[in-house]
Amino acid sequence: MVGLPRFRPRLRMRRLIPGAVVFLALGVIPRTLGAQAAAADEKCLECHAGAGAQGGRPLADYEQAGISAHQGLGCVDCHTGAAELPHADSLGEVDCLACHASETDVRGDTIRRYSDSAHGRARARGIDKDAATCVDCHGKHDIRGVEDPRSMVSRRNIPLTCARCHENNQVVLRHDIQAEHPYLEYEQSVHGKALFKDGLLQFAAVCTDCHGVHDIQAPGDTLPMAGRPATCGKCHITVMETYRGSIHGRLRLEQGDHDSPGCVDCHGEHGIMAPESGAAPTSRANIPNTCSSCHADAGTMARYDISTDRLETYKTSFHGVAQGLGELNAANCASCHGYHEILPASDPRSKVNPANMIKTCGECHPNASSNFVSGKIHVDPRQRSAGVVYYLRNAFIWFTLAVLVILAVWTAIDFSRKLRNRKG
Amino acid sequence: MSEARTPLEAFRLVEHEGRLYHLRFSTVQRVQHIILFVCFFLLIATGMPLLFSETWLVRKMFWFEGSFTIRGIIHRAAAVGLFCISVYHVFYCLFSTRGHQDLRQMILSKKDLVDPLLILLYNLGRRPEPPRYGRFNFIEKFEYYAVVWGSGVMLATGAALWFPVQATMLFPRWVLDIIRVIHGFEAILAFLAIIIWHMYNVHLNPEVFPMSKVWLNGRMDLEFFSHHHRLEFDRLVDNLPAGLLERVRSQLNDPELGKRTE
Repeated sequence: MVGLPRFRPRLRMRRLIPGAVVFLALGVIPRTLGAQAAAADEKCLECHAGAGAQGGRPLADYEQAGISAHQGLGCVDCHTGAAELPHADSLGEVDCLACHASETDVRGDTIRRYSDSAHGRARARGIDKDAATCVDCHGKHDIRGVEDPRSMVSRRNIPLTCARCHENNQVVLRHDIQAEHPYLEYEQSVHGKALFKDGLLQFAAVCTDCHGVHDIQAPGDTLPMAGRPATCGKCHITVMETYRGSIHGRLRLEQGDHDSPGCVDCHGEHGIMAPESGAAPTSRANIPNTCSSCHADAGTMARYDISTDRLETYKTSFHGVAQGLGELNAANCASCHGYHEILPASDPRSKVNPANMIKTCGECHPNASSNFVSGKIHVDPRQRSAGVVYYLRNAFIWFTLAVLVILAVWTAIDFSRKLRNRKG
Repeated sequence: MSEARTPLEAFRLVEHEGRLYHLRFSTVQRVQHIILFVCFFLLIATGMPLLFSETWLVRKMFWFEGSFTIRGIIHRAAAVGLFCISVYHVFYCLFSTRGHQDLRQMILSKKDLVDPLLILLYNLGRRPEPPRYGRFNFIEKFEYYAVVWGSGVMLATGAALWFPVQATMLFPRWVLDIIRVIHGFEAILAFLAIIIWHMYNVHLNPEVFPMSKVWLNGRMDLEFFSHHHRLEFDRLVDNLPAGLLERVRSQLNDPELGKRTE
């Protein structure tokens, strides 16, 4: 993660350089003395101070400005339209980029990338006043540096800052945003708990770690960061190494095949949970359904020439029946096929390659012999492909039906006769 | 037990509240039957859900965590119970006097092939009289052999499914797929046989409704005995000493009883 302690001094340095350049270039040195600014601010406060500022004029929360990162800047440094008094009715939007144009954010991206973000583009269309701009995330008069725990963009506060809009149903519905309760889900996720409960400020992923900072993209945009395995791989490094070698990883990363699952396709997104949690899509209870969301889909599987009966054949197996009725020790897809390391059976490294079956089955069935692992595993007696098992089952069905009919008829005849005997 | 050594026992008779009864099942046999059906119903209750695992009712059965594990334990424990009672029964049939006598009466004869036809014709009104049966009629023999065969198949296939690793030392694993089908359908057949056939014969049958109590006290009314196991009854009458025969005659209100054969 970006905030690993050993990287921090470097990042700080990097942030300081452009800041210093801007500082000097704009000739603001005298302002650091504060005196001049304070004198000018007095004039603003004549109208804009105190509760019930005259005529409904906006109140300058001057006290907060005094403790913000912008301490030392005067009102007119940002509200440039008010330099000459009396000023126009509307001062126009504050142009943060006047000072911050060439700065880079915590991820090393220039903040100008905002203009090409989901938020920035929505703003640029001019129709969308909901889209976040600088002040929506950074605050206004109370702007604080990212390292300040009270900052809206401090790692500890980012989820709440994003939630101000993204948990607002009106905003979510108005803009057809895919995730309806990203914060509430995040709060219960491994990442959210790591942040809020375990206090892993630098290790727990917050919104910006997966979605980006100024360059946030929406699902459907080109290369949204959050959907890319590499994004998770920034922190989950060894998992990423394993995944990269798996069939899913190879298809996705080498061939750019987006039908092949990335991390979030199996693990979920905001509400990501550990497999030990029953509700997780990767839990023992849910794995078969998660895998079969692709592997039982005829359209997808046709592309890879993989049979779609994997789920059905599993469910009719003893493993599947037990698993379906809550026996979580029963083998599920991942028990035999693995998860991050999944490979086709033809691959000699695959857990289900014939050469490795004794070991794989042996994880649950000690002393498994070559006999034990021989033959087809995914057998559905209801399908002709099951061969002798299919015919035997059909024979049994007909035999059972015949017995049932004979017994029923016999009993009915016997019953009516005995009833007559009793009356007679 | 005080009557255990009385002469009555030699003729499979017991006295109860001043009346004579045919002792259809001894205490040992009745206990065997109870153990058998307790095991049977535990096995059915804990096994049948697996065949209908996707149904609503079965999902409700396993509502709490660990319920499936408990199911497995009960199923296997009941299987061990069935195995033990089966082994005991083999020894009982071979080495106990009564068990051996009854086993000999169980042997199939030509009559058992003809009787189904005769009773069917009688039930359909094509014959005036039902066939006369010995100690065990063809229905009872059929039920007995169904239990013997079914228990054998279920114990053998169940053992293979319980110990798959050991079982596959004898045969390849695909045989287990076959064994699983057999285990399931044999269970359904056994269940149907019991629910329809046996429950009808001993409960819903208008002659015994609501229930024949023979399985509880072992006693069969002499009149019922004389009707339903006529050949056995005749054999009894032939061999009864005069005193006992007189009691049977007076109890059945038939002074001529036994005289035809004299």
